[in-house]
Amino acid sequence: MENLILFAVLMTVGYISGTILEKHHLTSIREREEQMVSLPTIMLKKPLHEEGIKEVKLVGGSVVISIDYFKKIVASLANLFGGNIATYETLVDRARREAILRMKEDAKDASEIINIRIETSSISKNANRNVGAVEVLAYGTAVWR
Amino acid sequence: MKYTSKLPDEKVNRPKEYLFLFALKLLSGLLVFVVLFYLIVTASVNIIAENLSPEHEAKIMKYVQMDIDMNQTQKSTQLQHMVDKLAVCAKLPYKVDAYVMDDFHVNAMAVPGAKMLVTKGLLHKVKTENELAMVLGHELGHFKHKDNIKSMGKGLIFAVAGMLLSSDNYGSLFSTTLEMTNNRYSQEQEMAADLFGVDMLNCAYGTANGATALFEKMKKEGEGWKYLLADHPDFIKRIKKMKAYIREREYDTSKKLIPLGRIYK
Repeated sequence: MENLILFAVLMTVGYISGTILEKHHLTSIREREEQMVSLPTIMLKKPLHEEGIKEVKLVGGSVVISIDYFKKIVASLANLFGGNIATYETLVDRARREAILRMKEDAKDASEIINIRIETSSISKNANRNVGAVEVLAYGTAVWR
Repeated sequence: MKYTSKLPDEKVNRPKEYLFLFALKLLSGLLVFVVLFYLIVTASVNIIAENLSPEHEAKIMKYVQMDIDMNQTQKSTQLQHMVDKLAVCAKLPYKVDAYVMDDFHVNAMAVPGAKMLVTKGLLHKVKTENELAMVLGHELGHFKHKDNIKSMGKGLIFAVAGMLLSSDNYGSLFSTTLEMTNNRYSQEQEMAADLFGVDMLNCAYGTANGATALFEKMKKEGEGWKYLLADHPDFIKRIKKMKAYIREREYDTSKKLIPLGRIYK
């Protein structure tokens, strides 16, 4: 019985705090994306045009976002039945966009960022299974003209 | 080549349904699975238990022991004598050992290992041999109906299922849920044991007088909640059912009650 109560409390806390944090994070991501949408970010190896380049630099942004208890339990349930894991999808989406934003912030006043790579790793792998977090690293070459 | 800036399209990479609904869907799926599993296991264990041969039944009851602190119990010749007398009527394929337990709660238990435990609290409460015989008969009913074996069988399967799942997060949740549902005898089992107890009382003493005395006493004293906690729910209903059964079987209810002698030192 105690286990069930503890479980219910953890689920509720996880759901409420997770939802609030996610909402705040998404709002902040949307605002910053609007602000920085004018900076071209491309995966091409070469800049769009090669004239007048003053400086080139490696820029990067990385973020680690933890999963809440609710999302983790729901994910493990999805593991039982199969199908896409919606609770992870929101998490990874936020992490990816946040990493790109941080990379853009690292490249202040650049004309463009080229050759962008995005990598993810799961922190929880091989670690204590109570830690669930995703790391997303975005890096690229910033070009100043 | 012209670069066009674009904001991410949230319809593409974000899940299309609310997480809460997603979770609800999965949880209800799990619930259906657990309920189905429980029903199938219960049904098949019951079928197996009903068809168990007396030799196997006796073997299981003798060799599976429950973890009880035997230092808190004592043998009683008088109690054993009563149990033996009732067991003749019950026709069990094994011998039941009776013990008095140092416990002030009003309770009696039929446990694996063919042991019958009666608390001192209960012995203080009953005033006649008939009342006590009714309780002992009820517990013998649990033996007779193989309630121990059924719950052991279920417990075993659920423990294995819990173990198989416990490498996952919800494994402990699963086993806790099943533990909760498993440790109790169902109301039907209790009622069936009641009626069996009435039969035993009538068989051994030639009267069903005193069958409901203990329940009525406890109802009057307002200890109903205590008995409720001891897994014997709804005993007003049980009194009614027993009385109806006694009428239906036309058992004698007028013979004199035998006062209870000393059971333990």
